Amino acid sequence: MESEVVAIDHDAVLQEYLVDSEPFYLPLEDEVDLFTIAYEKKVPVMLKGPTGCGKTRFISYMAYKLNLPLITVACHEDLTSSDLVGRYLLDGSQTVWQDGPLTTAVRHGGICYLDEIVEARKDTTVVIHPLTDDRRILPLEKRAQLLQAMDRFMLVISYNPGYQTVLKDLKQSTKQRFITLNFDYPSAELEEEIVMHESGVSKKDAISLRKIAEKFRGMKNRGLDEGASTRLLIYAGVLIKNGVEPRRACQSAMVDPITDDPEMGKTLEEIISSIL
Amino acid sequence: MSELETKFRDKYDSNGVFSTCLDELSALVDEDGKEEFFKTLDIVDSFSKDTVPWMLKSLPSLLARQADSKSRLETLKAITSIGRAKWSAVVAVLNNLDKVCNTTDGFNIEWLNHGVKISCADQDAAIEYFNVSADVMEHLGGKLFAVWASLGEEIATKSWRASKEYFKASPSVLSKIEPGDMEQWARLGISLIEKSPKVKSKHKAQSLFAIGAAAGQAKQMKLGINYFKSAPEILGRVSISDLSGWVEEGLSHTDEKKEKGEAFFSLQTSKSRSAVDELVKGLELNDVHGVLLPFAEAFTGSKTPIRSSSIFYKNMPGLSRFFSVTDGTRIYLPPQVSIFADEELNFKSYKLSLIHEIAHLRYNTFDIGTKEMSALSGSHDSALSMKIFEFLEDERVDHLTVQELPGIARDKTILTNEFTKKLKPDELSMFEYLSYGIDPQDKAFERIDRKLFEALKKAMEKVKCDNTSVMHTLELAKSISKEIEAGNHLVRKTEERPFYRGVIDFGLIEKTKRATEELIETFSNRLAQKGAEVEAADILEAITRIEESRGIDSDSVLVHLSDSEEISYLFEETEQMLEEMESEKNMRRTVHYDEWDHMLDDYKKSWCRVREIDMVPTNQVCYDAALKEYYGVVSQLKRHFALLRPDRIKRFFREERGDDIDFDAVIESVVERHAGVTPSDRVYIRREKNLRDVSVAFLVDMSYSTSDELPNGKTIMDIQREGLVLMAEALESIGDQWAVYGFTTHYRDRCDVFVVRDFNMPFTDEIKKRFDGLKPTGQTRLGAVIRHASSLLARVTSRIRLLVLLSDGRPYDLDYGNAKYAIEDTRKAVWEGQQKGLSFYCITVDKKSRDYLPYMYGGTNFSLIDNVEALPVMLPLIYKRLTT
Ligand SMILES: Nc1ncnc2c1ncn2[C@@H]1O[C@H](COP(=O)(O)OP(=O)(O)O)[C@@H](O)[C@H]1O
Ligand SMILES: [Mg+2]
Repeated sequence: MESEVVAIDHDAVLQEYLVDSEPFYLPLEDEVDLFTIAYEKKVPVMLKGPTGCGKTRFISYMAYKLNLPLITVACHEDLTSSDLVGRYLLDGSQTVWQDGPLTTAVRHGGICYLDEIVEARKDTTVVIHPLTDDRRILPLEKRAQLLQAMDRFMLVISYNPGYQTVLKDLKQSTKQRFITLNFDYPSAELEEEIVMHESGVSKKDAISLRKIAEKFRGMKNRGLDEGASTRLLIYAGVLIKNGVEPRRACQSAMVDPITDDPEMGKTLEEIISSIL
Repeated sequence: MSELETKFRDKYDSNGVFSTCLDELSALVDEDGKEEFFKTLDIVDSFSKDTVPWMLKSLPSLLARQADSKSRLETLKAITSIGRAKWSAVVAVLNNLDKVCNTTDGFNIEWLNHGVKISCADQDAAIEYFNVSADVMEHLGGKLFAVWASLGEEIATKSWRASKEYFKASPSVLSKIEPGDMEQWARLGISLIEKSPKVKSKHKAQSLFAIGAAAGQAKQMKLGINYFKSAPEILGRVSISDLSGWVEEGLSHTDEKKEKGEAFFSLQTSKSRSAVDELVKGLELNDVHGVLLPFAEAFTGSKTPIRSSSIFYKNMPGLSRFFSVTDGTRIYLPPQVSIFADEELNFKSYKLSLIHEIAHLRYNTFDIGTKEMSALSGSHDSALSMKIFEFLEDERVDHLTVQELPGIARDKTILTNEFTKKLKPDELSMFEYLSYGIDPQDKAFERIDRKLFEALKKAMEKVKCDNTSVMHTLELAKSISKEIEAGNHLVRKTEERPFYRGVIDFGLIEKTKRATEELIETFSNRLAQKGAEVEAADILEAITRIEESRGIDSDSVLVHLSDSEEISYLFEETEQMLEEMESEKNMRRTVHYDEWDHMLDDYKKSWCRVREIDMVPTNQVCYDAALKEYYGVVSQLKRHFALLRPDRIKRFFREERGDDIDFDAVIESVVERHAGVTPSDRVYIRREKNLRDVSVAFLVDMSYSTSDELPNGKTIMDIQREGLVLMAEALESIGDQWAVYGFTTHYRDRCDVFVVRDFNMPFTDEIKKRFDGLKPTGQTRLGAVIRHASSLLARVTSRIRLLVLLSDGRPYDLDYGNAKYAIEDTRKAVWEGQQKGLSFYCITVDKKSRDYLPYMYGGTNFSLIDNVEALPVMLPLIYKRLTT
């Protein structure tokens, strides 16, 4: 029987999660300082903001800066608490406990980043509650243990209020356990620089892409649920850099992902073809 | 002194009105004329005493406007015979006499004589005739007016109702077609009136009830009536010759079924509308409006309504197009563009026109106004100076646009190439040569002033810089005007603008600004008098919304209304809209739904407007009282329902992945390995939350009838509310997803769905306080409400999705057809929901409903509760039966 067991070698476990080179990150405001203080004071952090505006990039940058392993969990509907905490596995004819990502971070130290936490079911998210107050413990029910978090452990979640509907929202009791760093799309100049750096397009193209994004973002709540993210701009840039015709690139990277409505799609297409 | 004279002198000369009138009259007409006048007075006097003094005052001055005493006598005679038909027609004549005298061709006695003939056929038609006459005269001129009036007479003799619609529609129709096409338009209607009896005659032979020609006719005539009613709307879109195609198609539907034909001609069916759509040439603003509006707003960054410019310009062949123009807020675009054969090119042309108008707004053309522009009017040829200014200013803003939006430059090149390809080069105007950058051949300078051309070419280079303003343009225009003053310039055809450019209208900008401010001020004063303090911005928002709701080609701009009656009406609407905006604070959204018309066998498009509103929490008294009254039942229910709650966790054994180890499987697998068999790797236990996967929405009737009192002193609504309270408690203990919506309707544009609790709202005291808001108010338009509740329920993903309707009677609303219509629409709405995988159940206390319930909801999907008072206890039991 093939076993998935990882050898219990703490250093190796962590090694895997270290960010080995400095990620490119342009600070928007004072988020780097605030985050550093939060880490030192052992306060959990919530990154709030629309998708694709640099939350994930920021967290890996901070992990590098603070020299902490980064364990990321992309939350989804079927995520169970065992997926976070851990479970018993078989090794040959023995059972072996395997830590889940959250437990790994608690036990060995590091940032545990729960991305898009609203996507997870509510009963899954409650396992993080005891970690967010000053006890900083994680109960391992199956092993009947209480695990005390290392000093170097930090819990970070991300949350996109744009998705918020009655059917899907974060419980107040969860929200109120974090300090919040608000993220928004970078300012014009920063965004151009980011797009140039990440995709390699020229300044001129970057400016055009940024202009298009500006127009799209202005249409939020006037027919669009969400404007085009920095990530989408970069995708468009990458396509352009690789020889795709610019309007086609924008169409598939910036229009199709944000609207299914044919009329709105046509409007966006026309905006693009006016600017390019 | 005649008998009548004495009579009126006694009656109306208290303050000398009568004498004054008579003095004036003596100078105008002879004795016969006076006698005629008294006759008319006599008629009016016997119906409306208040009108007589008014007539005494106004008539002499009106008569004075006519040339001689003979025509005055004729006028008076005509008025008398009109008065014999109906006294109020006289008022219509006098009201309009002045206007008619003021038209270009002036008053003509034939105007009255036609009126006399029409009033013989029908008085109301005659009144309509008098009211539109002045307007029509301006459109047609004297000669064609006579034709128009005779056609009206002809129609009136065939169907007075149709003639009324004919007159009513005329001003608007004539603003959309050429005068020469008027007759064809009228004839089509006449032929339709004539054809209708033939259509019917097939049936008439067998019908015992069709006694005499008149019996069947009243119905058949409607085709013609509806045709004239719909004409203004259609003729804005299709040419007169295409209209006959539409009429033919309509007749073919009439062959199938009478009602269908009528509905077709009144544009109520989607078939009829799509038939019109097919006839339309080129691209219509209606079709691209949805794309252009957000496009415009993305560039202006503010609300920028787009309207049809047909309100200002006629589709005249000489001009070959409607122009676009902006009034500073709105942008008016042509109702259709058919410059190119290709649809995409026509669309691009729309876009270019739009972006050009936006450019005027963004690059501040309107920093100056009529005051600054008056500097140009002093010049030798002020119209030409204005053209020069407009051209240079257009070039300036276009240049800035292209700087910022290079994509527009590409579109412009493509379009210009296509556009000029169709033309011979010498067909271009001077402005076109310059703007398109095409060099005119020498021959062209026979038409074009070379000096002006060169001057403009130089000036163009100057405005195409980055730091220009409209002031620069104005200065340039001034100096060019001066320069060419002496020369002899040929401008005739040279005035044509490039095809996508509209008109700069400083007057319109200023008028709109002023009118908007005045209207807001008037309204805000009126509101203040009523004790309401409303912000100017809110009034503007309300008016903007009303305008929006009237559609892009309504024929008025609200802020320009001058008629005091229309303004009063708008004020009322504004008040309503402000109220609606206030209630919108609780409003979640509005949605339009189609309604099923079984007679047409078709949906009526976007017929009902549903507003989804958060119920306002008031107090918890009702909720707690119900809990107290049914204390025993509640705790029993809770226990009962808790038992239904399934094991929270279900375990699946022998799984490939899972949280626990399945030891039985492990042992087997070990044995297998020792036996040399490939061991199974399905050795885990997977645990899964086993939710009872049920979602239910209760849809509660809040119509007036639920205020009926029962023997125990409670109303039906009280009972329903109690039932819901018990339900809520039971549902919380079983853990099902639930929602409660109340509804009430009042005509098709006011169907309100109140959200007491939506799915996944936390069940707090705030929510319990909302139950109190379930109160009897309006009617029961079930179709629209069911459609909306269905779409709310369809959002949740449960396996069982149930809509429970609590009602006390049949579907009904003031404009919801007859019982059959309402039942058919409800049935259709239920069917649509079932197609989406929803289940329906109706619980009612109306005994009479046994006849149609099975038909609406199908088979057994309903309960009829005989003892209403038992509803609260019954409800949870029925629910339990339905979901287990
Ligand atoms: N401030 C920033 N500095 C550098 N890159 C950024 C920044 N903001 C966004 N990006 C770029 O945008 C992309 C998307 O951001 P990401 O962090 O994945 O978004 P999120 O996690 O908010 O959905 C990143 O891969 C990165 O290339
Ligand atoms: Mg212009």
